[in-house]
Order: sequence, then C-alpha cells, then structure tokens
Amino acid sequence: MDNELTSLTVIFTEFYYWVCVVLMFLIHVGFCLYEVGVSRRKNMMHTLMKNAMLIPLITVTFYFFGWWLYFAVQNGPGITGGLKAAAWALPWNELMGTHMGGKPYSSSITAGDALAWARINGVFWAAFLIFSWTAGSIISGAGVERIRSSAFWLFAVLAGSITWVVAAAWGWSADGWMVQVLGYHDAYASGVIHAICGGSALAILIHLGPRIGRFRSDGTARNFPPHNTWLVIIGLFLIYTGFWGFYAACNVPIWDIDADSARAFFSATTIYLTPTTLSAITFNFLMSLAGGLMAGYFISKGDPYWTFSGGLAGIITASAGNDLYHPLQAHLIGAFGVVCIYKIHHWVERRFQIDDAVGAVAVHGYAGFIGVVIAGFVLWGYPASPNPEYASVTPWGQLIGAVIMFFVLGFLPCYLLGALLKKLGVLRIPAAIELAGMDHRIEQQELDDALEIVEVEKEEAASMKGAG
Amino acid sequence: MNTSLVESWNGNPADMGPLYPFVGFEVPFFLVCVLFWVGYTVWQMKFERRTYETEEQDLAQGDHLSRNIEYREHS
Repeated sequence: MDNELTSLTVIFTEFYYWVCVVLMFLIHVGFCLYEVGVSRRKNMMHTLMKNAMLIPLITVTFYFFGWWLYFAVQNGPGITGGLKAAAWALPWNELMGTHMGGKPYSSSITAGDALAWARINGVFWAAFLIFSWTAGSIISGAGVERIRSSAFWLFAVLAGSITWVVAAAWGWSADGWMVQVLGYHDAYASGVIHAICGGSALAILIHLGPRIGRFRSDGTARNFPPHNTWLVIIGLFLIYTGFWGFYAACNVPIWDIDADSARAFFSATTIYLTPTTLSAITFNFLMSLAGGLMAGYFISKGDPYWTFSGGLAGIITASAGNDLYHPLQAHLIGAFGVVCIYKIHHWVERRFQIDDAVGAVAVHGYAGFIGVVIAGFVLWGYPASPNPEYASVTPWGQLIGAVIMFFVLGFLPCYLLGALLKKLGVLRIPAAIELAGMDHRIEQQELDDALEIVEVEKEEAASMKGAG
Repeated sequence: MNTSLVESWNGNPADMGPLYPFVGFEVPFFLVCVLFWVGYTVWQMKFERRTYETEEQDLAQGDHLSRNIEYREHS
C-alpha cells in the first residue's frame, strides 16, 4: 500500500464488502419479523429466540471451521485434486485477526498471503457468514411452532457452517470442481444457498410432521393465519432489501479481467471472476422481483402472503443467471418460477401432508432448483470461467448441479441428522406444550408478576384509604 | 510487561504484522472457545429437556391444559 491507487483499490474493496454486510444484516431482521408474524401469539417469543440465537452459534462455528472449509474442499477433495492449503482461514491464524499486512509472525503464511488477506479477510468472511445465517434462517421458518430449539440449532450449524459452505466451495468459487467439470453457473446462489436450504427444510419437515390440527381427516390443509400480517410483509420487504446487498456482495468490485494479456481492463466480476456490472444486476434484480410479484398476485388471486413471497421466489429463480440475462428474460424467468413453485407447493402439501409453515421449501428450494436448471438452457454454451480449460454451461451440467445442491448437500445430511434426533426423542416438542404454546412458561410468569403487582397496588390503595 | 509485538507506532507501517495482543497464543484461545461452544451446546440441550419435562408435568396436573386452551380462546 505504498501508492494511492493501490491503497484506494484495496480500501475501497474492504469498504465495499463492509457496506454489503451491513445491508445484508437486514435479511436476518426480515426473517425474524417474518417468522414471528407467521407464528401464533402463543409461540412468538420462542420463535424469535430460535431464530436470533442461530446468529452466535453459526458465527462461532463458521469462524472455527466454515471459512477454512470454503477454501480447502474446492477440489472435492478427490475429484479435481486434494485438499487445498488455506492457512489464512484457519481460526488460529494471525490473518484471522487485526493485521497490517506486513511481515508475518508465523511461518505458515507468506508475505503475499499477508498482503492479500490482511484487509479483506474479515469483511469477506463476514459476507459469507451472513449467507450462512440466511441458510439457517431459511430452514428455521419451515419447522416453526413445533421444533425444539436445540435440534434446530444443530440443523442450523450443519447447513450454515458445513453443507452450504461445501456447496459454495464446489460450485460458487472460481476453481470449484463443479465449475471445472460441469460448467456450473450460479452467480447469485439460486442453488448454492436456496436449493440447498429448501432441500434441508424438506428433509426436516418429513421427520418433524405437521403442526397439530394442520390437516383435516380428508387430507386438506387448515389455514393457520399469521398473528400479525404487517410483521410478515415488513419482514419480506426487509429481506428484499438485504437480498439487494447480497447481490452486490456476490461480486468482486474491482478486478483486472484482462490480466493474462499485456493490457488491463478493470471491471466488477462474479465470484467466478467472469465480468458483470452492478448496473446489470440491478436491472435484473428488480425485473425478476417484478415478475415474481406479478406472477404471485396472479396465481394466488391477490393473496398477500403468496404475492410477497412470489417477489422473493422470482428473484431466487432468476439469480443463477442474473449476471448475464437481459432484464426482460429475468422478468419472465422470475414469473415462470413462481407459477411453478405455487403449483408444486400445493401438490406436495396435499399429496404428502408436508406442513411448510412459511413456504420455505417452495420459495427457496423449488425456485432455486428450477432457477439453476433454467440457467442451463438460457446460458447454454457460455464459458463458466475465464479459464479456457473449464467446461461451458450446459443444461445437463446445471441439472446435475441442481440435484447435488437440493438432494445431495441439502436433503440428505439433514434427513440423516433428523432421523437421529427423532430416534433420540429430541426433535419435536411434547404435544402438551405444543397445545399450550411454547411461550406458556413465559406467559405464566408474566401473569404471576402482573397479579403480584396488582396485589401490592390493592394493599397500597387500602392503606391510603385508611390513612385518609 | 508488553502483551504486544508493537513497540512503537512510529516505525515503518509496511513492516507491521499482527496488532492484537498475545500473538503466538492463538491455539490455546481457540481451544478455550471450542470448549465454551461445546459446553454451551450440552448445557442448552439439558436445560431445554428439563424445562419441557417440568412444563409437561405442570400441564398434566388437573385441568391445566384445557384451562390454558380455554383462556386463549377467550383472550
């Protein structure tokens, strides 16, 4: 950092991710509001605590091993190579703390590592971390009102600090094996976050079962109205806002995309180091949101829940290719995805009696899966990477990628963990507590406290009357 | 006593590496944090199980559960 241009580039990049991270925090605020709004009044506090406490648990585990995992397993390992060295991401490494980028203290890192990572490690780590929180939050909503917090937090750590990170290493890094071999392209994480977490949520719901009273004897679903529709809608608006920051965080803000030649050309790039612009992704973010909202309103005949969820699902469906699509394509893809997920959600609910309280499997899982597959057709033949030796985008590469995301990394690990927790009897809360409400103890304590105060006030009033 | 590698802020900044205290003791700090996380997780699971057992016993007494549902119906 001995000249102004280098300093400006490095410190701008650091600041860029820092701003994105703060914006992305709104995703979690939105998820908390949304879930609390959807749950019945008797479960509000439990719902809030369940979602809020995933923040520290995923943060600490992502620091312990998640960040290292992202760099270490990009080759599989065993598919395109072995484990990669990533000393700067180990939790005890000096570059995981305050560092000026000068002479390393430890011999495990080079001077080049120190210079490259000292100012970017924390903000880059945080950007990935908030994706991890999002992973936890997506599966949180599905099991609302009956999952034990301790069980949920194990699922949250599994999805947030392990499976989605492995997915990102494989399919959302410049040199991941899925990019190399399959030409996998998923610029804004339709599959890498959303399909995985939708698959995870479906696995958990199979073991968890529906809330008491959710299905009639003929198999049709009863509606559990949200206790506060405003919280639900404001929550979804905040998720949109944070999602916008997420889009920016998925980019590398300044990169020389012509470094192989004697020339230089600086641009924003995707995580694959392929060129895009903030302008392009802003067009596409908003046009796919618009498509999703319109399709959600149309297909649900104006139902507010499905309209706003449709906006989110529209973005998710288009996200895999939103670095390259034309805005009109993003619009149509977003709309198409929402019509599909609405139909699939209701068919699965009727056929298998899956009680997905917030539509997480549909909005994230089905939309993410469909989005990855659509990108395979629309972006057919695009180079997946600047590296000419890597595969190009194809429909079959994307289909295999979607299956890996939804079933292999999403569904399977959570299905196995769910089976274990169910066998141990620590997955679902006792039926009596589900009926009484998960806030039963808190409500009882509040009532006792209020009655005690009333008694004191009565005594005080009587003594005043006596004195008068 | 000096917990830091930094002896002065007036040297060459390009030579500065880690700025945090107790450089070289990162692994013990890591192990303490892992123990804290594991201990917390075990405690939380036991705490939750005990809480639900107590609440279940409470709700099983007399007509506590039906009164709770009726109260909710009228509130």
